[in-house]
Amino acid sequence: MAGLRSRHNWYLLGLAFALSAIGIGLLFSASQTALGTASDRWQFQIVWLFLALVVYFAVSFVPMRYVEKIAWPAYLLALVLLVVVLALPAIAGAHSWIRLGPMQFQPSEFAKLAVVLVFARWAASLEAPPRELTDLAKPTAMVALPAALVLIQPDLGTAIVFVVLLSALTFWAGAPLLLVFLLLSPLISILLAFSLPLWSLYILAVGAILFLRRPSRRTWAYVATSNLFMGTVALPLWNSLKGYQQQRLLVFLQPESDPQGAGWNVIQSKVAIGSGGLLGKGFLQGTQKRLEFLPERTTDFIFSVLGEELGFVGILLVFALFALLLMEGVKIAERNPDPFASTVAFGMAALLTSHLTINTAMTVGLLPITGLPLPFLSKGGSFLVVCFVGVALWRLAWSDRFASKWR
Amino acid sequence: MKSDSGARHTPLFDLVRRNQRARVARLGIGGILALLTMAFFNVQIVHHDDYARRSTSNQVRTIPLAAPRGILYDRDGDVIAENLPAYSASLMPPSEEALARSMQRLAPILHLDPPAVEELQRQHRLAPGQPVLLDGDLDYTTLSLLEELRSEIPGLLLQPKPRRHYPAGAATAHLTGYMAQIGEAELARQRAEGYAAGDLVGTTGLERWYESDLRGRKGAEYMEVDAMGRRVGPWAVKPFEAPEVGSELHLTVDLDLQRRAHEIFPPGKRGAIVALDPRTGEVLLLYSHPTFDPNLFSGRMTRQDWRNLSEDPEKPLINRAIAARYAPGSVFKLATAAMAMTLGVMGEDEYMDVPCRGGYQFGSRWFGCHSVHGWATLRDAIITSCDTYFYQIGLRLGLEELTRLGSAWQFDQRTGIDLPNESANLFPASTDWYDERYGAGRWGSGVVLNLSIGQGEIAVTPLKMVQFVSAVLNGGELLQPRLVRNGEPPEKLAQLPLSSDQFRILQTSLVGVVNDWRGTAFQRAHYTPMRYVIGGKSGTTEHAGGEPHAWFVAAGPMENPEIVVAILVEEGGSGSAQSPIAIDLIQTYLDARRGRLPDQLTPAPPVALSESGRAE
Repeated sequence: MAGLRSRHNWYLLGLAFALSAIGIGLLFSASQTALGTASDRWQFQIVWLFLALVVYFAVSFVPMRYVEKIAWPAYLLALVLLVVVLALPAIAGAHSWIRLGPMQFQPSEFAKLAVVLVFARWAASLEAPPRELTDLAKPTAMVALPAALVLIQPDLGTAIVFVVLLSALTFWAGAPLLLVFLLLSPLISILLAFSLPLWSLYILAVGAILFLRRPSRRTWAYVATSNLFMGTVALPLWNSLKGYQQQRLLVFLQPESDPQGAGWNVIQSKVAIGSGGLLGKGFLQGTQKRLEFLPERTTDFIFSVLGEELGFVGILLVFALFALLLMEGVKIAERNPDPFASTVAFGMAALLTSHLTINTAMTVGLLPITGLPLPFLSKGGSFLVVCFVGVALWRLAWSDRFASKWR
Repeated sequence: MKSDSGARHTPLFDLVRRNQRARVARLGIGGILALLTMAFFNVQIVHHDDYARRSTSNQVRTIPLAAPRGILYDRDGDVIAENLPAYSASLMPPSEEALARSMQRLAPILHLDPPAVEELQRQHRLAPGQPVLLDGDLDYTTLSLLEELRSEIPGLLLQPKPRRHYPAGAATAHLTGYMAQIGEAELARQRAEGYAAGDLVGTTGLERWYESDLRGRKGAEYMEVDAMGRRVGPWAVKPFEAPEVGSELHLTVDLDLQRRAHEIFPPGKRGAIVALDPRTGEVLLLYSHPTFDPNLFSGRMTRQDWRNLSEDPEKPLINRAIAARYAPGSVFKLATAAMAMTLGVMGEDEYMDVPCRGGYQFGSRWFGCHSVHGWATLRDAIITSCDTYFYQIGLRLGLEELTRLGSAWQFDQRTGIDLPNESANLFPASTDWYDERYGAGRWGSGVVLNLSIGQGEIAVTPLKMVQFVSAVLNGGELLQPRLVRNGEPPEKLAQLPLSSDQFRILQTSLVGVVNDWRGTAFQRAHYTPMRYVIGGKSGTTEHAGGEPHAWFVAAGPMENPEIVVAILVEEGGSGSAQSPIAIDLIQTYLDARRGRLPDQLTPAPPVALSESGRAE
């Protein structure tokens, strides 16, 4: 058994390493601009990758049952850090970073991991799959608490990731899809509240579902009140937003309306990606990047550098690597019979999928700009470490699979 | 929590159900990736061209390089319009805020007032990627001041930009026209031709008529800029495109004659002088007075300069040679005489029914003559400019024939000279014209008397008149006047159907006007010693509220005319009073053609009047 545990999943590690190496190449490219004003020190990312690999090997020697034990302490620590970060001075307009000497890290990244772990603890403790919304009250609260703290920072993107995690994990824990839908229905209500006809149709549809499915009285009460409440509160809430906050959301819908200001990033990113064409302008040759038209080249928009310099082919390559990685994650979650390990594995897949989707969709203007990093590729050490911890957890769940088989 | 994970199986996590959920999850991830791939396909492949274009326009700024304009030469190769080396300052700001900031520094140096700055900002908004012209003609101190500022002001361009210069200035102003910044309406029409805001275009005169030939083709310098609008370097793909010089024009005019006309035009008067070579229709001189300095427009004209010109009551910007119309008066008697001979309404040596007793009684109306001429033949009548004779000729012709022949000889047409803004000439095309203008039957038969002496419903440009007199001198060919020598034969517009003997009668009559002692111009003309046989015809046309307008049309040498000059002076009094100017110009031209210098001149031998004197 010890021999089996020491076996690494070289396939997973290889994919993660390949993506990170592409990321370092792109960061090097992003630092090459015409007038050399970019202070992006891409070399740091190599150090971080080394550190992340060390963390990977360290974690992969921890037995899964210890991971299970530190779930709650990790969660509590994450909450404490999320509260502490709110008390620290804002960096770049948000209370998201904690600075430790030369490094800075986001507690919300650690919180995502912790939420996956505690959720898995809850899933493992289930006697029967959740059938009612009341069955989901506890995990919802566990996710909502850090999500709310993150939303105050403000960091809408990470809050959305928490919502994705909640729905993906409740689904994996055995809740029917309809139940997941009813759980999230108040959020949909908020989005549709800006169009009265759409919202009315939506409320009618929800009402019809409730009528046909005949859930418990409590579910009825939750769904009805929360949907109506969110629908009515949305407009006053919108009006209470400051002008620039409204602007940010509106510019997403129509970036060309403010090409010099808020829409600049999306437009320049699309120009970079679109001008890359099939094969790209060549590594280091991107003009949008080189002449600094492309903003946030090393973090949010690293994918646009890829699109510009390596073209559609480069995009396909990275998507393919991610697809292999995520499918492998889902496979591990599927195969491992242990509820905790399986849920952790699935949670990591959901986490990386949400980041991948929100980040890349933003670069082509499909989703608003939220500032979520692209796993493995974006500059930023702490998130790289989190990603490799995720790979290590997959590796643990993978070897656990054999553990149970051989028992 | 139990440490042995294997003992913790719940129905929830049985493998079959998990397989289904994993399949849903795989479908979800696959679906998302497929959607994203489609989005990238759409941007990178479907709309690639659009974004590639935007990427290029992001990164490349085109700095137009001015093309040297074609040079204008006179008929002897003297320069009428040229390009002087000059420097222009323009600004290609990365943003509107940058423009405002830069203008704060630049406005005091360039002496730009707030309205001028506002205008520049407006131009920038209209075409953000284009440089706005701050000053088209920098002096040396300003240039060196700006040179020092260049590094601090993003997008400041100091470029050599040839400046149009007219060496003869005011003497050729109406001929050459001038250059001015292109207007918005014209820019909207012509943008496809490569014009940009701030470009100078020919606005009047030859500069306008031959704009497309003269302008050449702009070159361009392509430079790469970064997102802040900072210059990175020349664009690697195509750094430079050389401008093409505009084609030069060789004009028919004589620059010395232009200068002479400018010198001797009666000061303080308004009017015009036009001279043609009657053999070819080539314009030798085209001058309007008062005039202006077209060089003013080439630099950056101040608002005050423009106001001074455009609001001057003397209207110096109007080209009176082609754009002002006057009744031709007695000069038109040549036309009436030619019509009478064409139709044979009288013999050349025949007297009219009534001698001139200072006027002519027509019905109840007395039509006056300026003197008492007694019995006169056609020749006598032209020499003395007897109105009484021509009233009776007009009656014999009748209004119908007079208007028919007048319009056949194109008195109601433009000459078609290669200049913009030529006025249409006013002449009744037929008797219907009177019906339309006054109503049928509401005009008197007396109109024909007025028309036959060039008064009434007739108004023509000086150019029109000199064109007609040319035809009388060259055997009847009405030629289209032209300013540019293009090597092609002149275009013949009409033919006066007179015999050469008949033309001879008209020509000798012209000689008589100047040289016969009875001639209207005899006394005034001989203030100047004459070295050539010169003929002419005066015209003095009454006009409401002032001195009469003075016409004089003269030609020489009459043996074989090489030049015919028309001078019109508004409120210039008697037409003959202007004859010395016309004669001076003719002699200046002929002397130059014959290589004579002014101090070698000897008076011409006395004119033999055996043929051209009195009829009997």
